[in-house]
Amino acid sequence: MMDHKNLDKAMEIFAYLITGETISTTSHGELYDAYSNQAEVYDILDAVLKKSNLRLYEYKNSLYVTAGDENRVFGYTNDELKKVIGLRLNKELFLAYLIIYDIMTLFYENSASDAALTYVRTDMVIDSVTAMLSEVMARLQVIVQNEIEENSFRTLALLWDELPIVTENDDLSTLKAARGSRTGFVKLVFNFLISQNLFVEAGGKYYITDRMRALTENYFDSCKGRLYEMIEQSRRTDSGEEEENAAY
Amino acid sequence: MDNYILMNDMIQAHQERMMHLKRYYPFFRLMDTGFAQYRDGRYGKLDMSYIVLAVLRFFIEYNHFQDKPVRYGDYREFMAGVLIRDFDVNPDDADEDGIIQYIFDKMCNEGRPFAFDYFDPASHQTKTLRVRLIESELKEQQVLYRISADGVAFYLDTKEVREESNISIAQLLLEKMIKARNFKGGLEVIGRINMEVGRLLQERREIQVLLNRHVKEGLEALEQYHSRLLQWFEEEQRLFVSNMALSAQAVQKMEASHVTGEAADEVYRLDTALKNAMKKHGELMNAYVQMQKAGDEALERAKRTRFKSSVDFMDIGRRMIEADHPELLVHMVMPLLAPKIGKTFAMTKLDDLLLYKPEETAAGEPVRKEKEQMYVYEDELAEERMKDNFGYLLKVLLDQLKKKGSVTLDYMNYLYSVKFPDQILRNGDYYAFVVHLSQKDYYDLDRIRQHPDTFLEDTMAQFMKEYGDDYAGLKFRLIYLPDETIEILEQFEMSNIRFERAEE
Repeated sequence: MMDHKNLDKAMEIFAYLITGETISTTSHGELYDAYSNQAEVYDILDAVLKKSNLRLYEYKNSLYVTAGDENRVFGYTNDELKKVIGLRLNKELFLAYLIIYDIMTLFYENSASDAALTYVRTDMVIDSVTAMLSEVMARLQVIVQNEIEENSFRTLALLWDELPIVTENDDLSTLKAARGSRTGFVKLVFNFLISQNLFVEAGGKYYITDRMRALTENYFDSCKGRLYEMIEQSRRTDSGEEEENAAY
Repeated sequence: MDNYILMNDMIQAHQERMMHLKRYYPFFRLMDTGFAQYRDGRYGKLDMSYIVLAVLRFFIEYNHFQDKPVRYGDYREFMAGVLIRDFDVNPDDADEDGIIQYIFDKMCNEGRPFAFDYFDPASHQTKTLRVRLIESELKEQQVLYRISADGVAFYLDTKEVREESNISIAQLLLEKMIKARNFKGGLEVIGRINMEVGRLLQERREIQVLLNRHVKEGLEALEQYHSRLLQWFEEEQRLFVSNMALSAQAVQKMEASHVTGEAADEVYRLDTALKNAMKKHGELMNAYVQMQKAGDEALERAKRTRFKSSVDFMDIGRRMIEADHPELLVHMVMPLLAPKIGKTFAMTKLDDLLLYKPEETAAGEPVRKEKEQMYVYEDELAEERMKDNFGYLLKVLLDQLKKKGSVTLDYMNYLYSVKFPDQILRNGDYYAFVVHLSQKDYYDLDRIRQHPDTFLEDTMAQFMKEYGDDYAGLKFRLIYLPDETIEILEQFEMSNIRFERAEE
């Protein structure tokens, strides 16, 4: 028979986690102890999280929860993220995704290794994104009109290439987050990542948090197969469409 | 055959020609822009063509000869000097900063590449060419500028026709200069050799960047660079050696002749510059070898990670780019985000709600043969009831008239009370019957049967259909007796009526 105290504790942990609070040995320590040492609390929390389609990870004696991917209740839609980050167009949002992915790869080449850096700066991110898109951008020296699809990496590369490093009136010492330049755009993305407790900023440097480490090192291992499958599926869908078109 | 060569030259080679031409486009665009529109033509005397070439030469000096990037402050200082020296622009002019910034913005095209469209007859497509003169990068909170490869190529092209190896031609020119004892000219030629070497080194850096991110494409670019580099490298080195010998001879001669002053300086400078240029040229090969090693390592790394059990983020990214589906990136980003607990409702969702079609999971409605249901309304029911009741009341009245020839309402009340003991005198239909009856004072049942006029006559007509034989030819009158009152249930009164049978 379930102990109500344990249920209370489990639900309290759940409530704290989804509101972004930290559960660790130094923050709400008694709840962390209950989770670690009481099997019933662990089981109840596990069941509740599963039903909510949330995933829990433990890293350096702290608990972190994520809504994962395609969570209709706790996850963001593209439109919501545009609003939160401060963007207007879909291609700007996808460019923001690319920058976030690129920042991840600056720290982690793969999920098995430790983070290669402790912090990054805006200029490092700009160089890295430019390098990532370099092969696509090289093909942008000559572009065929009307051939670039709206949702393609070429569109993102074009958007990135058209952005100046800074706008004329940017004061580098107080770089403003904005969509009009590469530095502003990267800063916009970092502001969002800071609001998600993935990075903290100090003196122009962006330091990775334990939350970011926990999720990067643990989440993707469990869905590796699915990621590759989705990529292959998108390729098959494209080649299927091309074959259909070819049939005509 | 001649026609084929002509067509091939026109069509197949067109793209290559346009690629070569694109480096000139920014210059002529800038010429078109000019200074006429800036501050109402206040700086109309400035010459854009000279300024553009001067700025490019300045960048080459910094980037390739001094091997350092240009900061805006460096450019500003340079341009201020040009304006004062060559155009007599007043140094105290309050708008000096404005015009300097304007020139820079125009040359950088505000960070965007210069773009122009052309038609490719080989592929029958309209294409857009994009070219930059100046590139920028952010390093340690500072924006640094470099001349682009296209910018250097354009500048070199303005003074000599581009051949397979600019370095070799320049070397031949240098040889002539040294033999003609034109040491100053020789120095300029060495400067141009350095520009070309700088351009190749820049290209090497770009390939290195590509190799770090995209192994396959980087190795392909490295292969192409290798073939271009090695094609002319040996000849260039041979010419360097030959010119070094000539230069050494010139120095010996000068020392033997005890030449001093500026002439001697020129010779020494040429000798030193040539040694440095040769050294820098040699660095190209070193740099290439380093890059070759980096390429091998990148290839090995790519092979190794294929068998690891962890998620290779670089590999995922490469595959996404190859699949050309940026929306796949959402699967890398969403899991990092905290759960969203604030709920929002976008007004645009109203459209979705209104146009929502539920899934067609319900079974189709079977078609059955059923009787049509008749609906009867309350007033119709009331009408039927009244007609029914009127029929009973009428029969009693007509029976009395037929039997006795005359009867009063008072007596009829008594009779109805006997025949219909269920509170007939409290029944509304009875009083309605009396009221309907009072509408007329003469009734001919035969005529009514044919032409009923009122609701009561309609009832009488139906009554006659059933009992017509018994009452055929019956007529009667109503004679009102207002002086005689009938008390009903000790509650109200009504005046009496005598019903008399009439012959006509």
